[in-house]
Amino acid sequence: MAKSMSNLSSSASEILRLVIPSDGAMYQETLDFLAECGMHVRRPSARGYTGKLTSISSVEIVFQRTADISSRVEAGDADIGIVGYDRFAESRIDDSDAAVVIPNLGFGKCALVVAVPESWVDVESMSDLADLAVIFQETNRELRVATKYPSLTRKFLYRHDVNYFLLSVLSGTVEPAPSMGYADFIVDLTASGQTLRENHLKQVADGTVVQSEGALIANRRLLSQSDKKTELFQEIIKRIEAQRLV
Amino acid sequence: MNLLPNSSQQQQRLVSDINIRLRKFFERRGYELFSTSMLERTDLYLKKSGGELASRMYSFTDPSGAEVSMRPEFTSSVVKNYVSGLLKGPLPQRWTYSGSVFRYEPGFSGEFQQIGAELLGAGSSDADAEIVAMASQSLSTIGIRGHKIRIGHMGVVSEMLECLGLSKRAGVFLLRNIPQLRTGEAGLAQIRESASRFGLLSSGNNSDLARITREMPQQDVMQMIKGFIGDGMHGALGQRTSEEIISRYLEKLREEGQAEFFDIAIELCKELIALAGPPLVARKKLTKLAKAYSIPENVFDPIDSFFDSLGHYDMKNVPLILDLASARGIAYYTGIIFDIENPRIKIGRSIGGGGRYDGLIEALGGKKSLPAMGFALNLEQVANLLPKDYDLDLEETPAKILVTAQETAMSEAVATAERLRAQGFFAEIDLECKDDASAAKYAKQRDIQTIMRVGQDGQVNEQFI
Repeated sequence: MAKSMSNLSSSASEILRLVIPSDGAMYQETLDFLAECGMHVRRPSARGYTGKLTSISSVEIVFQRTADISSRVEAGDADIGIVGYDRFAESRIDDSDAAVVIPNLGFGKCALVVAVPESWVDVESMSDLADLAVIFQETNRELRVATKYPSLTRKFLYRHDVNYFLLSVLSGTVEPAPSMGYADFIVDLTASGQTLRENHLKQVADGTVVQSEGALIANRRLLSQSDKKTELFQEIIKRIEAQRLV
Repeated sequence: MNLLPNSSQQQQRLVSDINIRLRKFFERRGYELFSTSMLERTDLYLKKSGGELASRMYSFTDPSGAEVSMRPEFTSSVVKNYVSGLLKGPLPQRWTYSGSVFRYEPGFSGEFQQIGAELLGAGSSDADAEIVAMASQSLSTIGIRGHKIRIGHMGVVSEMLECLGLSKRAGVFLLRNIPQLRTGEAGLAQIRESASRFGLLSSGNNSDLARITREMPQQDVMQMIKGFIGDGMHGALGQRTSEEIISRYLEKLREEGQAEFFDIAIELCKELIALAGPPLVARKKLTKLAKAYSIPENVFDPIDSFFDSLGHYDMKNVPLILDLASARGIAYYTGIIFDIENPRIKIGRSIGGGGRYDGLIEALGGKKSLPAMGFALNLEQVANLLPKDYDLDLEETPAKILVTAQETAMSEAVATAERLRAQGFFAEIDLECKDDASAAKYAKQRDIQTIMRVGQDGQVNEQFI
């Protein structure tokens, strides 16, 4: 876990802290996106945790693992952040201080979907899975679902009346789980569907849990407490909006 | 996150007061108090509840790695205790319980108070009537007026749908979606859409195949389908066998022929919604409806015997609504279901209700199936309905006394307080050895009528506030 960054010097309240991904495909895409918006990120060392925006002073860039960005903003360790909407949706808490300001920054597009083995010719929809959960329960088996997104998965399955299942939370690749024999189906990200096909999996028709792309999120409470931060934030939004209109 | 009960002290006193009164009311009818654990394995609740309840539960992994949940209701726990042999005694067994239950609901406290009762091992209409009458009378006994009881019957509706030729699966689907039908055309469109995804309305794509599979013997069809796709079954099957997959596929194909029945069933459900009303009137309309759909009149026998049995109780002041389209947690109810309504409660949780759940005991591991019926009241909502002149205090409250003394005389003060308590007074000790003025002020704020100042010699001076 990253160390708490909330106990910084007194000038900290005048610096806007923007947290962005340090790993995965989102790392480069976020840097490219900011650059397109006229906000180049200067990272003094490739392994450093912080950086600066060349064009707006008083903005500090913090690099974090994608999975941790939402909770950093939620906890108030950073004022704003750029993260995949899927990650935000997974870790968000109702009524918390963190909110999505721009949900569609236009990069990192993917979808979190329910996928079952291709061989399940009788399963086309979530209703089929609901039915299957009952059949498994009646025959003393548990329908096992592998995912990196336990919270979204649980809610989505319940909403579609799939009530009886065993969730196995993986941190590595999820797609091979059914053919390796430790899951019956999966809930995972897909962009083109190719990896799913390679693993003999197919999407369930109404099984899109969430459509995702890069999103700008913010801690409402922190921003409302500082005029300077609000001003900096508005400047960033202005640049993003200008780019989006191009 | 709505974790804290945000009720006032007054509300808490009301809730605890009606809890005691209702419990006595149930005990007088042979219902014995039983307490259940607040924390249970999650699968206990998942086995019977619908997705609606499952998604509102407070669930977490305990230190041993087991999935556990704060109880979202009592019935499952009572049944679990019966199945495991903890509830002893001859049948029928009558149990009452009360306490906190936990369900997430945006804008409301996640914790709320319920009191309820379960009648295990009695399946007659007299048993149904006992529970419904007791639920209603329990509200009357604490002075609540103006509530109605909406009564439905899961068994009867299922049988009506079966008479139309609907498969069990399609029937369950439709019953679960009845609330949507109430929302008019938009709801209807939604139902049709999910029905077609569920494979209950013929999409046209497979209709020839569907016809062929209906005409051929099962064994031959299995062989044929296996020939078509069996070899194409690459990769993982999960825990399923190819036979299992193909036979469910065939079952789905066969059900595509349900489309016409399904439309008729939807019409029937719409009419059921429309005819809800006072039992005598609604019952007559049901007879007409049954004729129109060629449903034998005797499907309504359970309803008739229920109302006969309910007639033994004085229900004159409580309007009843017979509404066969009412649905509550149909995942486990099998017979009579009922909901208590009051026009003054427009938002938040229901006042209460219950129903018959004859299959649950077996589903939770019971060796034999056992008829069972129960209900629960949501105490905070019940408290909201209490009349303004509700007399909070059950018994006359004894006089309250503040016993105060100098530090050196604390031992005498304690002795005096203990003596007063033994005599039945409420006596609290002034731990701060206040002077006369601040003791009087404190007593006034606490609604204490008498101050007793104890001297070192044990002598007591009384002061009335």
